Amino acid sequence: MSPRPISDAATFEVYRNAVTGLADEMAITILRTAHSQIVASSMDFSAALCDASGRVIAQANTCPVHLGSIPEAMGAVLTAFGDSVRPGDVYLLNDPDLGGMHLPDIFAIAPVFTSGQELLGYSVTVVNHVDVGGWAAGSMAVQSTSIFAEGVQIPPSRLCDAGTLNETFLALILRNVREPDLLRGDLEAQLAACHAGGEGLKELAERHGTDGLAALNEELLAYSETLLRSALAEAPDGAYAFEDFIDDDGMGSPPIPFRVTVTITGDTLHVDFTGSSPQVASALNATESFTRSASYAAIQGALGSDIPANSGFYRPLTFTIPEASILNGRRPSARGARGLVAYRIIDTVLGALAPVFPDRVPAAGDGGPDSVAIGITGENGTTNVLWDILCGAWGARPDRDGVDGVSPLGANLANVPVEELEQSGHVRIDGYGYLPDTGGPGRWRGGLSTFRDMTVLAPTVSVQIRSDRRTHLPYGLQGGAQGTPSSNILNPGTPLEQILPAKVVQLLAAGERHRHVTAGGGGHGDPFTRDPDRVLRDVLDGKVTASAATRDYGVVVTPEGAIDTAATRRRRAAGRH
Amino acid sequence: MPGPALTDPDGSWRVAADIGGTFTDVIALGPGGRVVPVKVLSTPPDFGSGVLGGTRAALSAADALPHQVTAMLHATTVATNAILEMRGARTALVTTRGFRDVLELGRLRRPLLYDLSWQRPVPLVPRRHRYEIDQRITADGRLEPPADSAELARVAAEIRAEGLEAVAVCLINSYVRPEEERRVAAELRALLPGAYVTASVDITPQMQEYERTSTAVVNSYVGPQVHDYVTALGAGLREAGVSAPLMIMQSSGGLLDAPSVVGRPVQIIESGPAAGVIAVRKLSQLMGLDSVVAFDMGGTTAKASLIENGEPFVAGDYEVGGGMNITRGMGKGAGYALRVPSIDIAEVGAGGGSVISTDVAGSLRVGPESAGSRPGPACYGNGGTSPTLTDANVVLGYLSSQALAGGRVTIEPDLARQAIAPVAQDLGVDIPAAARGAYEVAVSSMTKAVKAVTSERGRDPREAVMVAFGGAGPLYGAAIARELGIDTVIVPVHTGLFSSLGLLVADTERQAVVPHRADLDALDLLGAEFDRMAKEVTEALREAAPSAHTEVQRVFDMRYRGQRFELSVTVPDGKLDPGLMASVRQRFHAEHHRTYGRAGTDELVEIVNLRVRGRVRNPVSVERLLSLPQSAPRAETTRGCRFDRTEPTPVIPRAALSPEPRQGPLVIEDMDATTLVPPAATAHRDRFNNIVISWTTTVPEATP
Repeated sequence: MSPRPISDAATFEVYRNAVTGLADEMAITILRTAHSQIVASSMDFSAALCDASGRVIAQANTCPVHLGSIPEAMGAVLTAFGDSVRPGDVYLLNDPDLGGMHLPDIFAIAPVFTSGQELLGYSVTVVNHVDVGGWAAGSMAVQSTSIFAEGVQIPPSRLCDAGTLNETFLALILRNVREPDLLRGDLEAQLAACHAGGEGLKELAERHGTDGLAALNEELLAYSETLLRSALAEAPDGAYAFEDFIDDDGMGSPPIPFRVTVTITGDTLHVDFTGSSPQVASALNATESFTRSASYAAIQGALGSDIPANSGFYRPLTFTIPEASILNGRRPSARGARGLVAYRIIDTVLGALAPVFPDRVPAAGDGGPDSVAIGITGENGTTNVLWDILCGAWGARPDRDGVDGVSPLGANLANVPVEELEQSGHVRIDGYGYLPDTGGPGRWRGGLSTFRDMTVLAPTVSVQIRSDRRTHLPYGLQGGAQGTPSSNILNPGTPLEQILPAKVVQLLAAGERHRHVTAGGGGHGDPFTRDPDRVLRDVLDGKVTASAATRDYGVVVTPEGAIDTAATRRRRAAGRH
Repeated sequence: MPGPALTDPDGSWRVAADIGGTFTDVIALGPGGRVVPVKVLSTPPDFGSGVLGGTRAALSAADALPHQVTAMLHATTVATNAILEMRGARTALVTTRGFRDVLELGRLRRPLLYDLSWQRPVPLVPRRHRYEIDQRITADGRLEPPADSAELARVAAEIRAEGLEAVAVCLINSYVRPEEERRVAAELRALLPGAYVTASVDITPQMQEYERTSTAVVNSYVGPQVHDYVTALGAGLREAGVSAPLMIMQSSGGLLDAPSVVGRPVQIIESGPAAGVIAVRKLSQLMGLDSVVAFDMGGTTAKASLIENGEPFVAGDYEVGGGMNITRGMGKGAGYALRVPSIDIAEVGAGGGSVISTDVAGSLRVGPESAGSRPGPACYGNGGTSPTLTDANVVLGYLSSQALAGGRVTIEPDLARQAIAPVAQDLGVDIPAAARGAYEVAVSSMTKAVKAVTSERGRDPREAVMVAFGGAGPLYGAAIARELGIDTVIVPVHTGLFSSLGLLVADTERQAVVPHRADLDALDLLGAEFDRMAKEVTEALREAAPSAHTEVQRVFDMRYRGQRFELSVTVPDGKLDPGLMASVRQRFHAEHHRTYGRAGTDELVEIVNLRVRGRVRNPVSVERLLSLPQSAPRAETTRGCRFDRTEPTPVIPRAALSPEPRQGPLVIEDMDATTLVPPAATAHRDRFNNIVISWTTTVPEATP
């Protein structure tokens, strides 16, 4: 076993409690003071604390794919300002080539000093702002072909200089975005959170001393490292390969491959993405940091959730990420829709880890939250942006069904209440719920698809949709079937019905109706071994139809709602094999 | 119907009954402030018989007759248990076509980030019992179309055929046009005699369909059981000769007459914890304390809340059934959402039964597993072997072998040592050091709960006084206070029963809330709406307490435009004119600045809800309850207690403490709780018989 990193177990645990609580306190500050729907309702933001050398010490319970990208952002700030960091400074950045992820995600990072001017660490926040300019409302359109079309680019910059806000710089940013009041309000929420984190960190330094704090941080990192190494040491050595796809780049490309080989050697793990797609013409390009971030989330999910996520967790992990690939786009490629890449990376890495941790890794879920951004331009030339985020299913687990309708592993997003969307007066929501027979059949069933039907009330709106998993479906495991495709349908059930592409920007007129359906999750294990009572329960609940029960599960349900035991036995004996 | 008498006639008794997991506490308060406590075993699933038995026992111990009881006050877990044990009514949901899955989808978030084995709590209404009807209320309040009576009759027939006992109705946008939803509920009620029917807008008339649906469903799910329980208990009390009306504690901290509770049982989910906070509230008013942290620790959880200027903070949203309180703040999704006023209580899974463990990397954890009351801590000798906080406290010398539950539970110190030994071995330290480590870890986790209600709300804990109570609270209060820079810790008499005492002194309360609407923009209309609400709560309270005076408090929930979270601002008495509104806005800016460190401008302020609270004051002063319980005089003894090192520590009864501060270390033993005074602190007894622990000395704790 690895050496124990902790000198005093009680002091260590006391510190760990305090510093993780502090990160959550930062997140709560953002949540309660943010002004936009995407932050306050959907909760698309993250918060963390770093030590004086920029290593992540504690994360809030926010978005995993953001959190793993923080080291890169910190690195960019240290490169730019490391020599001149002063109390009262706040740094901003969103530039994907200089520490950022995609333009809507703006980092605000504040150094924390003791009263004796000693640097203790950094409060880090990142918020997905509702709009940062560019050609399409919401700034995340898949069809962008250059970062210069995607909005305002902020290299690592000093927003506050020793406590003085640079008004000119802020005014420049605000002039370039569609909802300046919301951006300012959400940015102020970030600053408030940075302040809360800083005050808390100062208190901890008073208690433990600056050196004591540094020593405890080392222990915290070593602790996560030790737990991860010990888990990896127990896993079988070997190289595990997997392949998955994004259907297309939204501009007519062939399927986009994601190839990974995960190699476990002793207590280390190497992730090699060689063979994955070169960067694409559209905005589906990630950054290297984001690719690592998504991989961390997958690995942590596969290992279980107990290990504190911090920079120590990252130490036993190494990466090969090809240059100028979809995983590591090169300037000036567009990056706005890179979220989808992260979700596919997670699916691919988890697929590779499935044989390593067969009792923990689930089948594939819906493949990422589908985002629907609705832009409404008013007569006075201002534009409102309504965000709707649709999360569908989790894949089936080795010992239980997938969850129906939940945020995917890579994120922890909330939906926007129907009544809140409708209060805008621009749209009406006609339905929101599950669709039957959409969860991949298995001994354990995949989660169901979620649909949302919307009717346009405003004279015209532009709808920007990012979705996938229409031709390359969520995979099943161990004999479980794959899930079902996502879809976008305009005016369903009318003579004007039209199937829209999965990734599209479309103008809709008043009275037009749009249906979005998320993909259904993959199944786990042979469906003909599923407990018939579970199948019956799904039939009674309308989650599986009676005909699908017979076809997919070999379970015959009578019109009265009971299992026909004899027919089921016959059907299952005949099998599909 | 009659209410509690305003002033107690001579020879009258008030009885409070508080149900806990293991014991039901019954306290009778009689002439001259005589307090007669009785502890009986709880009697699940029929908790009422424990209450009746305890009431008889208390009256008999007090030599009182049932007809002398003028008030019967109750905190009950019946609603909570129905949810935790999934034993509520078989319930139907009736909702707008297209939205039956709102209840199950919730807000999509999960409480833990990386746990791929997470399961959503099972919906209280299975999908097959969620009925959609072809009606729609638009966002601006038009009916396109209205609900159709023929369709409702069909749905009612299905509900009847399925044998469902309760119905929740929640229509999309019903908050804009509540009368439509009430009509649907009324028709269903007429069609389904005997069924318990809830219209969501009658419980929470606010926007956000999931929170409203979930609240209505919980109300209907627990409604029939609460009805049966309250009816049976009332009958049992009358049979026993107690004719005083039954009053039940609400989550918001006010008592309400039983018949009213039956209509809104969702309001009594946090009945017991609220009673404890109210006891502290009354104590803080008596003592004139501005800012008080109420800290309550028992066998499984520790709870903290903040009382400012005599008023607890009330939260509009919380979750029930999510296990311990990981549901607060960023962890939503673990339980069932409720939108009803509830005292804001932060809870962590740390109690006497919390299990101590280590992991491969050498960290020391306390909880979240608990040994519960069966088998309980190893030292109980009931076959438990897991080391718990209680075992650690025995090893440390803090708890004597007779210290728990008035000596009912005998403690075996050897078993405690044996249980802690493997932890010590894993950490490479001696057994007392391991036990002390666990004590400190528990302190840090409970410190988080106190921070959640103070510093996270912009309140400096150093400006507060802590009141520590519950069976284990006084063992930890001083240490937690030290962490937070709180100078003074008060341990009141009847510490282990303090929650029940809250029932005896609580006010009777009713609240009303309506969301702000566009048609309330004019100040006179806003004022008229407040008047209407005040009349509504006053009249409702008059039914419960006919002759009493009702105090009315008006509150706005306010926020800056775009925000999704509100702050509550009390509206001063007087006509709602521009001057008054200016002062309200000023209060809002100040509160926002205090809570979040910044404030915006007037143009951005919006009113979200109007709230009215009506309150009928309880005639009993908490002072009457604070006399020193009778106990046989005991000589001072000394035993070794382990702090940073082992120190000979005097052990005394509360009565032996004087108004003169005495230097720690010190162990003070009451019948039902033990108070620990650490070495660098002092303790004295004040005129209310409180133990007052002070950290005012600047001498650091002795180091080895």
